[in-house]
Formats: sequence, structure tokens, C-alpha cells
Amino acid sequence: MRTSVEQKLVITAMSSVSSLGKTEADMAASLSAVPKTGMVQDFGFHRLATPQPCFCLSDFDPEAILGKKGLRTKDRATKLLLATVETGFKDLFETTAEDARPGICIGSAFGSVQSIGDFLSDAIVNGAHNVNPMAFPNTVINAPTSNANIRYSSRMSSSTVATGFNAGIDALIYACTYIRAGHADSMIAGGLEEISYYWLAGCAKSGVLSASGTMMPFGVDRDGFLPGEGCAVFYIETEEHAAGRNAAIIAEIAGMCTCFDPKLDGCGACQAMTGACSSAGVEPAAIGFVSASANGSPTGDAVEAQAIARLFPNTPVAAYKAKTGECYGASATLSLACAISDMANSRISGTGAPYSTGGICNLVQETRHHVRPKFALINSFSCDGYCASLVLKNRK
Amino acid sequence: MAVKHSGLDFSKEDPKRVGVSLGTTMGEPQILEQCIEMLYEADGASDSIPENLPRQYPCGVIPANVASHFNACGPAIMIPTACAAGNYAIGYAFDLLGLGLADVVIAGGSDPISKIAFTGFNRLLATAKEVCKPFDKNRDGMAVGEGAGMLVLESLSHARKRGASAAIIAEVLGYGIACDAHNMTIPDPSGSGGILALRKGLKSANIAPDAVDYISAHGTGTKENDKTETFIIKAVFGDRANKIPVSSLKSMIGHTMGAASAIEAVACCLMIRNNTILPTINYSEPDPDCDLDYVPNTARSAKVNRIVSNAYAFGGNTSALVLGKYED
Repeated sequence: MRTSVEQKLVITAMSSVSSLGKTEADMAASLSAVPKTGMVQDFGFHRLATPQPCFCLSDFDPEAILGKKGLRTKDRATKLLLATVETGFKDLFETTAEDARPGICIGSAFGSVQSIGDFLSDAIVNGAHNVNPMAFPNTVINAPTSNANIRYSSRMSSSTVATGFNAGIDALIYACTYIRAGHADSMIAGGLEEISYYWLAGCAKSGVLSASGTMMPFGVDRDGFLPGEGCAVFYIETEEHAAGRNAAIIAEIAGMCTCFDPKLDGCGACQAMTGACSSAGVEPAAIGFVSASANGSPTGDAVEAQAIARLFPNTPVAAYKAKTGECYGASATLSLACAISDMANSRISGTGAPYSTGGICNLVQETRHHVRPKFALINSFSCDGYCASLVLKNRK
Repeated sequence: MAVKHSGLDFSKEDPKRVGVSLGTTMGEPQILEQCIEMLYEADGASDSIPENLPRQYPCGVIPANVASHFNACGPAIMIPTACAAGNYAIGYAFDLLGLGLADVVIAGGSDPISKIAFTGFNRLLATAKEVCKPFDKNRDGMAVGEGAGMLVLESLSHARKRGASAAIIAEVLGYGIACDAHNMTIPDPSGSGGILALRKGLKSANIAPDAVDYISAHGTGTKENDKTETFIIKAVFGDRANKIPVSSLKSMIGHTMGAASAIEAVACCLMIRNNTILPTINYSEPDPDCDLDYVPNTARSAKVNRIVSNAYAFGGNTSALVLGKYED
């Protein structure tokens, strides 16, 4: 295997589960529809004081996808990941010899914090000597990824990345780095997050949720985000490996950059975007549209808007989180799936429900059709300082 | 301490070329523990929980704090692959440097003592009644611990450029990761993931099994781990397995979870520098299933040029880090 930062990496399969649906056709249809939200309140050991609007998967039925066997001790995060992998990659695993099956790298901010918190709650309510030992393995953050390795006999590698909002995009970059360092010629990589009581209660306490119950990236009246959940997973391989098995290329990951912004002043966002363009060998002007990280945060959106305006003053900006919610570790990977869907359908999806942005950026609110962008930039900027961008090249 | 020891002056470094790569099992579980205890004390109301407390919980906060403290603006990552996380983080740092994506990476692992780990391992009957006795016939489990191990890794060209090549402690030669894909808590008795990680590590380091002078074992002190790890070492090193000293530092400092392999990497670097092999303490009775040279109870003077450090984890995650003496 060759070692090079210039090695071409392509996406040849993808699968996602989110409020946009479970199939590529679901996603394409949902992207052109008005966003749908639901409500959550009860979570077993705990209950939110008031119902929380969110982009939850209220009709998620893991047994219908995975069968009943082996699911009893699995938590929601693991089921979301397994359902996504089963839908998109079961055939790939089953038709590949065990010693050649790709490794798996998944990003998640929390793993299953519902499992971790419930394990602690169980110890408080029922006593430490009575907690269910079968629940303990779910408390490690790598449990969902490793469960996927176990289900599909994937032995080549199992990695988990946890960098808050950026966990998914950093997992993709980890996979690309792992391949380029010569450890593998392909990887399954993506992002995952479940909606859980502990996450929502923490967000409520931190004051980051929208009090008005709206999700308006870059909106003048934005007041926080609505949480979402889901999972998006991709098969990333070297171009040579894809060619060797005659795989159809969905898109190329032409450039990437991950970095850290200690001051949260937009320098990291600029560094990530320019770094990704530079590694792709394209000028910012060649980017057909930007998929923003914006989630309705008053400060975060303003910083991103300024950075985009500086580097991409005339480029259309898509805000897919308006339709998926803020899915933390899954967010950027869901945005990547949306961007691929839009590129395949020659469009840039709008936010669906028009609202005023005050001209903060070139936000696409009404879906633009008959556009054929060759390159898209996928952003992910976290409130902790993690910044990452990918340049996606349309290869269809 | 690692940064101070490196002699690096970060004010003279390009911040964009300095990265952070850390591993953990639990991150900051004590924050979640505090929040949940407050919830129960207040009958489910969250009023008493301080506003800024929940945001300190996600494990991604740890490398973010390190990066902020040192103004590191390069790649930053948390790789929470449980008890093998330190090796994974050092491995990722090695790749960042090897691909020229950073000049310096602060790498390692950290885990505080947690009720979750203490309760969970007790409920799985995996903790020692008295002391941790890795590879001993009467071993009965691990001792849960806490700690952090940090290394400053830099490319050789960067070290030379700043005139630090004389201060190089050791060289990261390569690493391998794999997965048992067998069970969340029990190692694959056939050692599939451990064997694969070890072979990948040696291949990545471009060294033959014969070149290994010492193995820092995962060596938790549980019946299954130590038996399987012995099997793995024999499968990879063949007839030479019983000639290679193998020891478990967990006999002395407990199992520090995601920090363990990072702390072990620090110890391995010092063993290379000091030509000393640390022992497996609390060892008294040989086990027919564990029949290697475990350096029982007393440190040993020996030339140590090439070290393999194994680390395994819940989920079947396996890893092998290969370190060596730096030779100009």
C-alpha cells in the first residue's frame, strides 16, 4: 500500500438514518420538504420537565432492519449504527473474505450517554451491588463501533473519535489519514449520535437549546438549536482499490483539514476551509456551495458567517441542520450525505421554511435546481474549538 | 511535565503545526456522576446543577483544554477506545507526523477513577480481592486505577532543526490496531485481534519478531486476559516467545484504563533509556497457561533496543505500539 497525503480517496457506498429517512430516496424527498420535528420527554430513569421539540426518529424500528437476535442488551446508539451499517454495507461485508473486510471508524460525542447515565442511576436507585453487569459494556464510548465490528466480523480495525460536534467529520478524516498512512486501502467511517435524557438535560442547563423551539441557522431571530439524532456511514477507499473491484464512485474526498481554534474567533474556521481547499488543489472560487456548520447558535453562526463571507463572498451556503437538527457527532456526516444527495440531483436544498438572515450570508432558503457544482465544502465547527472542513468533488 | 521535559518553547513554534492526540475510556465521568447525584437529591429537578457543569462532561473537552492551554492550532482529537486508547492516540500522532500534517503532537491518555468502572468491573467479578497478580496462577482480577501518561512526539527533522536530537528519549517505530470482533468483554480465546495487531505493529515498524527485546504486556491480572495474551505472544514469536522478557506494569500501578497504554509507553521510553526492565510484582506461583518470562518481582538490567507494548480493550479493540532506541 502506498503512503501519501496526495493519494486519491473516494466514496463508493453510503447509508444514513436520520429524521430525513432511512434511504437515499427518503433523503432526497425530505430535503425538498418542510422540516419535521417531534417531541421527547420520558427516558426511563428520568423525565424532562417539559416536552422537548427535536429531530428524533420516532418511528425507528431496529428489529425490522436487524432482526430480534442480539438486540436485547444493545442501546439506541448501537442500534442506530447497526441499522445504518446493515442497510448500506451488509452485502459488502458478506461478499468480502473476513481477513479483507474493512475496518470501522465512527465519531460520536458521547457514545451512549443514556447507557452511561442509566448505569449510574441504576447504582443510585438499586445499589451498586445490584446493577445489571450486562449493561456495563455499553458504558464505554467505543461500544457502538465495536458492536458493529462484532456483528460483521470486521477485525482489521475499530476506532472511535469523540470531538463533540466534530466527531463525525474527524472520524472521516481519521479514516482518510489511516488509509493514507498505508495501514489500509479502505475503511467504513461515519458519525453517530442518539437523543438521550442526559444530553438534552445538559444542553438545557447550558442554555444552548432554542427557547422558541425553532431551528434557524443564520437567522436573525436564531436563539439556539433543536437537537437531532441519526447516523451516516460511508465506504472510503483509495481510487485504485475502488477501480480494482469495479466499484462505482459516488464522490471524491478531494481535500480535508482539521485543526483547533483556542480563541473561537473564526481563525480556526478560516484555517480549516483554506486548508481543505489547498489540500484539494482548488481555489475557493471553485467551490460550488458550502455546507455550513451553522445550527442557530447566536455566536457560532455569526463567527462562521464572517469566515465564509471572507473566503467565499459569492458562494451559495446550504444549512442542512435546518432539516436534521444538531446531531452532534452525526451532524457533519449527515450534511455530507445531504450534499452528495444534492449533487446527484443537481440542486442545492434550501432550509425549507424561509426566515430573515439579515444578509449575514448567501443562505439558500428556496431550493435551487439545475445547478451542477463540481466541488462542495463541508464545514464542521464546534463550540469547543474543533474545526474541520472537507472538499467534496462530484465524480458522477 | 512532558512539554517542559521536551524543552519545546511553544511561543517559537507555528501553532498550526502543533497537534493534540489523546485517548480515554470514560473522559470525565465524575461530572456526570455529580450531575446525576444532584438530580436525585432534588427529586429530579436540575435547579441545583451549576450551569457550566454539564459542558465539562464530554470527553472531547480534554484535548480541547490541552490544545487551548498550549495554543496548539493543529489537528486535535480524542480517541476513546477504552483501555487501549493511549496506544491508539500515540498511533494517530505517529501518522500525523509521518504524513507531514504536524511537526509536534502532544499525545497520550488520561482517565480519572470512576464509579462506573469500579462498579462495573466488580459486577463482572473482574477485580482482585487483594492485589493484582498478573500471570500468576492465583491471579483473580485487576485493580482499578487512575492516571495520565503524556508524550511529546515530534518529527526527527523538527527535533534536529531545533537542536534537540541529543535529547531524544526514544523513537516510535510503528503501531498496529485490530479487533477481536468476538465479544464486548471477553477476549477471543484464539487471540485473533491481538495477533493481528501485533503482526501489523511489527510490519509497520519494519522489524522482524527476532528484533524485539521486551514486551510490555496488557497484563490486567484477569484469568482470561493473561492466558490469551500469553497465547498471542507465543503465536507471533514462536519458539522465541519464552526468551523475551514480558512484564505487566499494572501489577504496580493498577489498571488506569484509557491512560494505561500511554503510561506504559512513558515507562517503555524510560526502560529504553535506562537499560532496565521493570518487573511484574506480586508474582509467586507459575501458571501452566502463562509460561513465559514475566520478569517476576525484581527489575532487571538489560539492553532494551526494541519494545512492543500491547494494549487491549472492551469491544475487542487490540493494539501494539512499537518503540525503539533512537540511533542517529
